[in-house]
This record gives sequence, C-alpha cells and structure tokens, in this order.
Amino acid sequence: MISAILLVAITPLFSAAQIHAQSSDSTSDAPPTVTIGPDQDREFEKRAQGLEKSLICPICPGETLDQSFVQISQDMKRILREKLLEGQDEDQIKDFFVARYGTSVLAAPPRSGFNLVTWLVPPAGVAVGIVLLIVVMRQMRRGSGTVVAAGVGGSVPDDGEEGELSDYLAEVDRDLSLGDDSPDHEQDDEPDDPDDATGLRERSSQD
Amino acid sequence: MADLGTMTLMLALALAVYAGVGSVVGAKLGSGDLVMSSRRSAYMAGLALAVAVGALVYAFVTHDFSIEYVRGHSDRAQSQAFTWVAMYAGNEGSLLYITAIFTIMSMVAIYVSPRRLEPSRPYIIAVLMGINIFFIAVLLTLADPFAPAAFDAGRGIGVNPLLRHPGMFIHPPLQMAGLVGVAIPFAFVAGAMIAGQTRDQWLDAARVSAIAVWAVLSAGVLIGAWWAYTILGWGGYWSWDPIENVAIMPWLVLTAFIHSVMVQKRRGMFRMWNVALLSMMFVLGQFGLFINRGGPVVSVHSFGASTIGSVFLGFMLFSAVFALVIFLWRYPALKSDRPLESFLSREAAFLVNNFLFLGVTFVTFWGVLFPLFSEVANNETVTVSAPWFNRINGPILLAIVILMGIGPLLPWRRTTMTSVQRWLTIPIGISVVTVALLWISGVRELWAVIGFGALSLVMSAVLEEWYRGTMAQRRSGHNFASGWWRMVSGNRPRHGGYIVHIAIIALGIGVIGTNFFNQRADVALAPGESFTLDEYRVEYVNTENEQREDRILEWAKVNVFKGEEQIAELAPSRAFYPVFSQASVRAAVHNVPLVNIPGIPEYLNPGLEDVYIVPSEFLEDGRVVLRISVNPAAWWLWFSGPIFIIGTVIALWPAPILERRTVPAHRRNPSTPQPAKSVGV
Repeated sequence: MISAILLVAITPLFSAAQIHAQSSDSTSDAPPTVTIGPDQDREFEKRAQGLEKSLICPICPGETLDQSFVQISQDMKRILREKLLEGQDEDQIKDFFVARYGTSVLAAPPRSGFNLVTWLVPPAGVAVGIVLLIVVMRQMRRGSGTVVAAGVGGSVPDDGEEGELSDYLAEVDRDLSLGDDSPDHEQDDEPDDPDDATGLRERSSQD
Repeated sequence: MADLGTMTLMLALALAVYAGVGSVVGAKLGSGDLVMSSRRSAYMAGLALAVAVGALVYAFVTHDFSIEYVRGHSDRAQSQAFTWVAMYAGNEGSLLYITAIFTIMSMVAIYVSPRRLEPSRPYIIAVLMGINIFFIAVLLTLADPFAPAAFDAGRGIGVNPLLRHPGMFIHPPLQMAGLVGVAIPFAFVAGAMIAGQTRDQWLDAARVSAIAVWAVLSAGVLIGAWWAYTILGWGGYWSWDPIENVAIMPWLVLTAFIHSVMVQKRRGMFRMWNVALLSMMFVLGQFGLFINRGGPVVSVHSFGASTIGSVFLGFMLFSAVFALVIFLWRYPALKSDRPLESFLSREAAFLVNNFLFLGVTFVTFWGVLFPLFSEVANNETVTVSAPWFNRINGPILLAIVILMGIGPLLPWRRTTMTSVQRWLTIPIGISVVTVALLWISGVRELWAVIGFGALSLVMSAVLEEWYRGTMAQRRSGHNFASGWWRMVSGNRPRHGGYIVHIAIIALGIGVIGTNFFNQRADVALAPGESFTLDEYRVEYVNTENEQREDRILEWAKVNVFKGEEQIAELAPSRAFYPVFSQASVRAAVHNVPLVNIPGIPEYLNPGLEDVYIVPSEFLEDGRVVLRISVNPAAWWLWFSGPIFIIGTVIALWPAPILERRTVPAHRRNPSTPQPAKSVGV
C-alpha cells in the first residue's frame, strides 16, 4: 500500500489530474447518467472496453484498467474514450499511454523488437514439442518394452494372436511378481480390447 | 502462548529430524524398531505442529497483541469469526499453516500407505520429513509467527480488507494444502525409487494421493475464483495473475499425471514418464512457494517483499537437483513393459493429452518469467497479462477439450476403422450440428462457437457411452437408474473421470459465456434514475451508510427490472477502511434462471446469466457510479464445483469387498454384448 502511494506520487499524476479536471467538465455535457462512456453506441463501448482490457493501471500490481477503480484508472478510462471520440485508433491511444507510463502499461507486450520473443517462444516450444512427441511415439512403437519385446519381435504386432498371448503372459507375470493388494486392482482385470472378437478371446483366457 | 508455540516448533523440528534420519539409518541397518520409532516420531511431529497452530489461533482469539504477528493481522473491531482464521492472513502464520497441514497430510499418507510399499516407507518418511525440516527451520529463523511485538499497544492493525470475506474460511486453507500437498505423491515415488521399488509398487499410492490433492487444489482454485468474482468488483474471476499462474501449473501437471498413470496401471507403460511428471510437479510446487514468498513478480496476492524469497529459491533448486538425480539414477529400471501398438489408441491419446497439458504449463511458465527476463536482458519493464495468456493458451485449451471428447472413445492398444466409425460418428455429428445451429442463429463469435462445438462433442461422447453401457445392463434386467449405477460401479475410475469431464463442460460453458458474451457499463446515477443494459433496467434508489469502528460502510439500494417486472432488489456495498486507506467492494449478484424451478433457492436454479452490480464510487453530489454487468452462464462456473467433487469421490471410492467378488454378467456369459466395457479405462 505504501509503495502504491509512493507510486502515485511519482507517476505523472499532475498532468493526469489536469486532464481529469477537464474531463469531468466534459462529462457534465455528456448524457447525465453516464460518467465513463456513452453506452448508446454499442460498437464504441466495445472498443473502449477492449482498450480497458489491454491497458494496465499504472499503480496497481498487474490489474488491467477494467479491473481497477482507483482514481488514475478512472481518469485513464475517460481519456481513452475522449480520444476514441476524437477519432484516434487503438494503436494511437496505446502509444499515447506508453509514452506516458512506459511499455509496462500494455497488458501484453508489443509484437515488435525484443518483445517479439514473448510471442514467438510458445509456438516454437509447441512445435518442438510436437516433433518430440512424434519421435517418442515412433520409438515407443518400435518397442522399448523389456518384457514383451522378445515375444513381439520388435515389430508392430499385426497378428492379434501373438500380441494377445504375450500380453496375457505379461499380465500373469505382473500379477505373480507384484501380488497387488490394492482395493481397485481387481476391477482392472476387465478386458479392455474394443474389438469384440479379440476381447472375448482375452476374456476367456482370463476366466 | 508465544512460548508454547515456539517450544512446540522446536520440538517438531527435533522430532522431524529424528524421524527423517532414524528411518534411513534404521532401514540401512535393518533395524525394524528404529524404523518404527522414527515413524511414530513423524506422527508426533504432526501433533506438535497442530499444537503450534492451536497456540497461534488461541493468541488471535484472545487478542494477544504482544505477539507481533497477531498485532499486525487482527484487531478488536473485526468480527470474532475472522480472528479464528486470521492466523493464515500473513506470511509467517500462513507458513505455519502450510507446515502443519503438510505434516498432517504426511501422517495420513504414511499411515495409509499400502503394505507392499513397506521397503520404501523409511525413505518416503525421510523425503517428507526433509521438506518438513526445511519449513520448520524457516519458521524458527526467518518467519517466526510467535515473535514478540516491539511494544504492546493493546490494539492491532487488523486484517487486510480484501480478506474479510466468507471465502477466507475455505479458499486459503484448501489452496495452500493443495499446493504443498503435491509433495506427497512425489514423496511416494521418490521413496520407492530410492528403495529400488521401481516397478508399479508405488503406483496406487501415488495415484490415489495425486487425485486427492488434485481435488483439494481444484476446489481451492474454484473457490478462489468465486471469491474474486464477488469481491474484486470487476466481474471477472481469473486474470492470469502470476500467483494464479504458479498455482495452476502444478495443477496442470497433476492433471496430466492422473491421466497418464492410468496407462501405467492398465498397460505397464509410461513408467519413466510418470516419474518425470511427479518430479516436475513437485519442483513447480516449490517454484510456486518461491514466487509466493517474496518472489520477484508483482501480484495482488503476494505477501509483500520479504527476505525469505531467496531461501525458497534455494530450496526449489535443491528439490530440482534431488528429483533429477533420483530420476537419472533409476532411469534404466523404468522401461515400459510393452511397445505402443498404434498411434490411434487410448495410450497415444493419453500421450497427446500429456503433451497438451505440459504445453499450457510451459506457456504459463514462460509468461510468468518473461517480465523478469525482459528486465534483465532488455532493461525494459513489461507486463504479460490476460490478453497474452488468452491468446496463446486459449487454442491449446480448446485442443484439450476436443481430445477430451475423442480420447475416451479410443480403445486401448489399437483401433480399427469400424470401431472409430461406431463410436465417433454420433458425437462428431452432434458437435457439427451444434456449431451449425449456433452459426445459423446468429452467433458470430468464432472461437466461442468452436468452443461450444467441442463441449458438445465431449458431452455427447460421454452420454453415448453411458447410454450403451446402461442399455447393456438393462438387457440383464436392470432399470435405467440401477443399470447406470451398476455400470459406474463396475469401473469407478473411468466413470468418475467422466463425471469430472462433465464438470469441465459446465466450467467451459461458464468460461465461454462470461468471456465472449458479457456486457458491461459504468454509469453514474442519481437517486431515482435508471439505466438499461441488455434487457435489464437497473434503478438506483438511494444510499445508506453506517459508521463502524474500523470502516465506513455504504450500500447502494438498487432495483432490477426485466421488462415491467421487478426481478430483484439488490444492495451492493462498499466499505472504506481508514487504517488501510483501502476500500473493498462487495458485488450484488442476481442469478437470472434459465428455467424457474419453484421451491428451491435462487442460487440452485440453473442460471442463464448473472446481473452483477458493484458500486465503484459514491460521488459527492449524491450520485453513485455503478458498474453493471450481465455475465452469461456465470452460474455454470460455480455449478461445476460440486460435480468435480462427486466425480473425484466416485473415482477414488474403494470398491466394497462384496461387489468386487461379484462376477459381472458379461463374464458369466461372454455372448452378452457390452459395448461400454469394451472401451474401458
């Protein structure tokens, strides 16, 4: 809180207060019920609220304008509406606030210069992830299994019979060596094969 | 009380050290007695910490302002109920709470751990106590909740106004318990790895504790969102704030784990991967603590600039190295039993699920770190906030929802085209129809339409499987209800999971509704004036105020009309606390029901949209500035909570002995068709 008050003192509050004085005059000319913006024009209000969501209140940690009710955000909301009414576009208005409060007033970093890194790393990470995923899946498919690999012969088991049998043996192996005493083990013994024919085979082999 | 508190902390430290060291030494020497006494001493450490918590609560309730922490976080004016929970309102007390709840959860975990983990148990205790020792040591040295006040002024400062909300009783305890609880499944797996039980011995303990912690964490996050919705006054509930992000990251990895662990349980695969996931989750939990405790990131939630941040950073790095060493050491023993048979199988779907969840985690992590990175590398302060996270994480979350519809319908091992056709035709058809209908009816928010399509895919997939499963039971003579229930109890983990998926659908409806279709206006009204937003006319009546000992309370009385009919009389309020020079608002929320079921409370009626009103300023000329929002589908966000819990309970509920012995009908008679079983989890 103390740091917030200090911040109020050092931010260019002086000029903001001046603008506030003007804007409160101008709002009294506006429709009497509306302080922050005329809602009559849906499209206008939508743009204004979009801007509110993409600008940060300079003195509140990490809150966007639309989340914040402190005086400075209320002033900024009025200013951005005035500028929209004057015909400025979103970028011009954002630039105005950046010039005043620095880049950190933007809720998301600009897509230019060094800050482009913020935007590029996630897609790059996802792309690398997809490649890794495919490599891992291919490798797993070739068969890293120690128990069954011998039975399957390292290839994709296109013969259901053989795969079924070695799976079953592995199951037995697991049950013998582990002796599961957990409560939810038994319901696991249910067959999981979707294919009715093979499912039945597995079932009968277990029963 | 302060002395009792400090003494019990020291006692707890001694007991934890004894338990940790004793159990390892006992295991090495083969001394069962030493292991047993260590184990009991771990229980006693939990007891000692519970006494320490009791001492602090007692100090709060009796207004013992000679303790600095009590002086700083309570006063006589606040309501008595809040003094009971004020102990976790600040850094030191919440750390004590974390330590105590963690030790108590450890006690339970050790107590209920399965017998087959016997060889690992000393090491599990050692890992748990290692974490515990760190916490207690920090409490005794750097964050002593029992430190005396410089002077006893006989009065306190009071608790932060934002914390005076019913949410305070539930959200912080659940959230903190969940975040620190992620260490429990990790301790199981780490202990088992050290002891050499590298097969599946640890699997059930890790899975059950992971789901339990997951439920606690989910409930904590959801209640936190509800709290933010009603008190922060901007009509939102999630803002990708750094502290929210560090809380959601372990949750995301945990969610990945409780899915992929099923592959290990059923197929003996992904063992290595699951160990890695639990390690990652543990380290992310430590990262969260570090960011939370005087970390370098600004947030509404942080505990202010405290010096202990670096200590938590150090512990996080130590945890990471510890987890990595264990993993690399046991790496060769963690091979899968079987190869992946097909890219179009349940196993592969789980793998993709994990990839997507880790994708969201990675993006979130990067978003939290980039401001620091920018400051160091580019010497520029930037903010990475909601617009960025929505843009990047939104599509990944959408992919997760789509996979949630398709994945469960893919069988284990491999899929034939006939099976794909048989199971996926209806859900995909329904989702296409949903998208088309929304588009035709004039909804032009593209992402929202796709989102609803994905949600309908999930819902129809679950319903399709439930329908076929129930019909199969009906053929063996059950009615719909009992047939459904038999199907569910036949495989609780799977159907509990489906119920959780339904909760996600409810959550998704709320998220899409509130994000894409909300309307808002900030208006100044004089008494008697009204303003119309959407189809609701809000009339401001007057303001009443009341001077209390610690605050000035103001209520704006408003009437809400829909057409000519008055549907609500609301009194949103604002309280100003001079000591903090801070105001706290309380939104008035009216749930407009979708269908009006008579005779039940308003909040239980399935909601169409919320009329949400907050007084943001009371002007000197008698006008009031109201923020009026219409938040479509907000009710569904909170409705998802109970469904989450029901689903989790069903997934975790142990099957009764008798039921387990009963042989299902299809096993007695293999010719009985039973499609639902055939795609079992």
